Formats: sequence, structure tokens, C-alpha cells
Amino acid sequence: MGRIAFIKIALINIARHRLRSILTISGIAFSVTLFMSFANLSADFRNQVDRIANQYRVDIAVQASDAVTPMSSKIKPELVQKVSESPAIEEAILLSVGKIRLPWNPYTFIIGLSSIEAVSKQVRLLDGDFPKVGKDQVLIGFQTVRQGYRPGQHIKLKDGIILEISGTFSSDIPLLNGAIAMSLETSRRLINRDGQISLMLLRLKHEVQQAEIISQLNSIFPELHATPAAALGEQGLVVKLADRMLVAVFSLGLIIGFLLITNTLVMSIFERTREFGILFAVGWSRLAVAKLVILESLALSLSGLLLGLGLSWSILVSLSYMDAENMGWWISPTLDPAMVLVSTVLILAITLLSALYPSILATRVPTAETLRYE
Amino acid sequence: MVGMIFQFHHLIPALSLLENVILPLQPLKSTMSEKRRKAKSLLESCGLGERLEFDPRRISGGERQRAAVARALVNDPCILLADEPTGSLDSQTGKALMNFILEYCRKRNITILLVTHDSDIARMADRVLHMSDGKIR
Repeated sequence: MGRIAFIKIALINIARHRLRSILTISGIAFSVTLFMSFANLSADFRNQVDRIANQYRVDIAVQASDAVTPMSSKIKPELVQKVSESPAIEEAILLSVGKIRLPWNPYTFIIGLSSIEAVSKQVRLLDGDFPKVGKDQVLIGFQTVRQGYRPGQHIKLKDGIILEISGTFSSDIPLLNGAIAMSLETSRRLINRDGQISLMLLRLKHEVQQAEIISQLNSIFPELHATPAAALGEQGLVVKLADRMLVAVFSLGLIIGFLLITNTLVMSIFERTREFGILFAVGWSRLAVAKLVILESLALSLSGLLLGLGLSWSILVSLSYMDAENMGWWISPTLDPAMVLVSTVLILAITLLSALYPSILATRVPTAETLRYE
Repeated sequence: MVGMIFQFHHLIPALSLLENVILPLQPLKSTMSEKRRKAKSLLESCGLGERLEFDPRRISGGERQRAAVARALVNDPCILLADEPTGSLDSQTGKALMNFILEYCRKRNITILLVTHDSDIARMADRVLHMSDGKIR
């Protein structure tokens, strides 16, 4: 009997108890979907935050040590002054990030930058001009242009501030395309920071000093948290909390998957003792029978995995469209290959583990006993 | 190698007749086409050449038992153990099946050890031992 017939027996056995198999596959798919959607949203967000910082080829990112996210980071002007004066630093780019309520989007991401040069490195101008210093002018992402706003028009905010649209832009970073960019002063006024900023991106005179300067900054300024700029997306309590939740969710999913597969296989073996008896009677080894059980568990879990990957991709695509329409910024509708690999390896490992006991059970079927009666 | 025939056919309903007959060949190291050829040839000699891809539930009791015989013989056993092979068949079908088994085994020098309650079937054997309450008389 070839592999195809071997697989056929496994698939037919799964199809025999359609409802039970569907429930098992759905349980695995649900766990995979939960993990993949959550992990990819988180990874995508981090990646975009990293790219915002890395546009400038900076070495160090500094935020407030008690910041839950970069948006909630507040660095006082005197600290900004002291850090900027360090002789090891060639350039300090100051960023003020946050969200404001705009007529078309209650969660509009705003980014204030210390210079027009800094703005021009983040985005490509599509129409109009960069904001002029000293004026409440803003650049709006092309997602916002879809709402009908054009250069020269004004946006009136609830608190009476009127922003003039100086131009429109697009960016390779989806997060920015629904955002508005402006000078640091304007952004400070909009998010009431009283001279405070959110982030400092530091370019060092000598890149090799990165670890040393980070260590110095963290020891001299306990209110600040300096990290390599490339790892900015991984900073913040929310990200760390999200990581822990991700591990918890997936661990729980794996345990549920383990119990579902084990339960399905054990029930199936109890119902098919005669079939295993026949296989032993016609000369099958215990190993061959165990392989059959493992193949069935693999068929169940791989179906669940594929369904889960498909579902999570569909969710990400739906969210990206929904986001573009309602939230003003984009989520990339892609599955991170590393996450797909991690979940595949873990699902396969848990499948083999969950097939262990049922396969031992199948090899202990008493042949003569099962074939005595019809 | 030992072949076994049971009182009931014990074919796996999820598989076709051909796949059921291929089952004992699974542990052997020959190619799939060789296994298929052998199983097909045996089923044809059992008169089931037209039923190769049939589901065991869709054929008669005699045909199922013949398929079970083909499955027992497919790996060229030295001894064939048969436990009431005709027990679930009518006398005519049972005799036809026994004639086939005997003829096949004689040609290939296969020893048959058969248990039966049917004296007509027992008379076909070269040697008959009577067993009562677990003891040979």
C-alpha cells in the first residue's frame, strides 16, 4: 500500500466523523487566527515605528522612561537641551507625536518634526509645499486627500485652532499616509505639550560609540530611556505587554489544540478497534499503525493551520481596508513569514505530542478479541 | 508468512476491494505498481476482476469473503489459517469458495489449517482432527 492509500485511510477516517473533525479543525484554526492576527498587527506596527526613526539614519532613540507608548512620552525641554549638548552627538532630531480629533477621523496621527529637512526625509511631497516656520500649516497624507482636502484649504479644530493645508504627501510607511505632518511648534500647540517633545533621534559623530552613549544617557538621565534607534518599535510598556499577551494567547491556543486533537484521536481509536485489529492481522507492524494515527493528527492540524492562516490573512486585509476608510492609516495586509514559520513549527510539534498517547493506544488493540465477532 | 481468513470478511469499508487486498503488502518492500499488479491478479483469479474499485458494502457476502481470501493469500503465505471461512455463507457459495481455496493452495503448496463445524467442508481436508471442549479427540 502506497503513501496515497495511507493518506486516503487517514482522510476517510477524519471524514467519517465530519462534525467532530470540523470542530477540531475550527478550534485549531481559531487559535492560529488569534495568534497570527495579533502577532502581525503588532509586528507591523513596530516595523512602521522603526522605519519612521530609521529614515534619518540615526543611532539612538530617546523617550521618557515612564512612557507607555512613544505617543505618551514627554521629554522636558531642559532635558532635550542637556542631551543635545553632549559632544558625542552630531545631530538631534526632535519629534512630537500624538493623536488629535479631526472632522474625518477622531484618531488622526500627528507628527511634528524639528525642521523642514526632517519632514522632507519622511515624506514625498505630492502637491503644494512644506509647512512654513511660524505658521500653523500642515502637510496631509494622501489618505486624507481622499476625504476631499486640498492645499490652501483650512481645517478648523474644535478648540478654535485653524490649520492651513500647505501640501499633500505620500510615504512608504502606511502609518504616515493618514497622518498629518507639521512643525514641532504647531504639534506642541495641538497636543498641549508645553515645550515638551515625544522622542529624540540622535545621530552620533562616531557610530561605534552607540552602546557606550546609550549606557551613559540611561545612567545620567534616569527620566529618559535611550535605545538603539533600530529597536524603537520594541520599546514601550504597551509593546512589552502586547508581547506577553501574545505568548499567553498562543500558549493557551496550543493547549486547546493539544486537547482537541488528543480527544478526537482517542475517541476515533476507541471506535475503530476492529480496524486496527484487521491491520495487525494482515501483518501491519505497531509502527505502521502508529504512523497512521500520527498522519490523521497531522491532517487535522494542518487543515486547522491552513484555515487559520487564510482567516488571519482575510482579517488583516479587511482591517486594512476598514482602517483606510475609517481610521485614516493603513495596516499592511501581509503575514510575517517568520510568524508563519513559528506557528507552523509549534503546531506541528503539538500535533506530534498530542498523537503520542492515541498512537500508543492504537498499538495496544487486542487483535484476536476485536476480530472474534462481526 | 502466515495468511488468515476469518469467519467474517473484516474488510475495511473505507477502502476499495483492491486497496483492501493491497493492505498486507504494505510492510513489504516492493513498488506500488508491483503491489497493485499482484493484488489485481489475485482478485481476478477470485472472479472479482470487475469489482476492483468497489466499496465492500456494495458487493454480496460471497464476493466479500472471496476478497478476504484474496487478502489472505496476496503475500504468498506458507500456511493459511482459516477460522470458519464459510461460516457466514450459504452452503453452495461456501463450497465454491472452498474449492477455489483448495485449488489455489494445492498449486502453490500452501498448507491450510482450517476450523469448521461443517462436515462437508471438513471432508475436503487431507487430515481431520476433531476437537471437543477444547481437547483434540
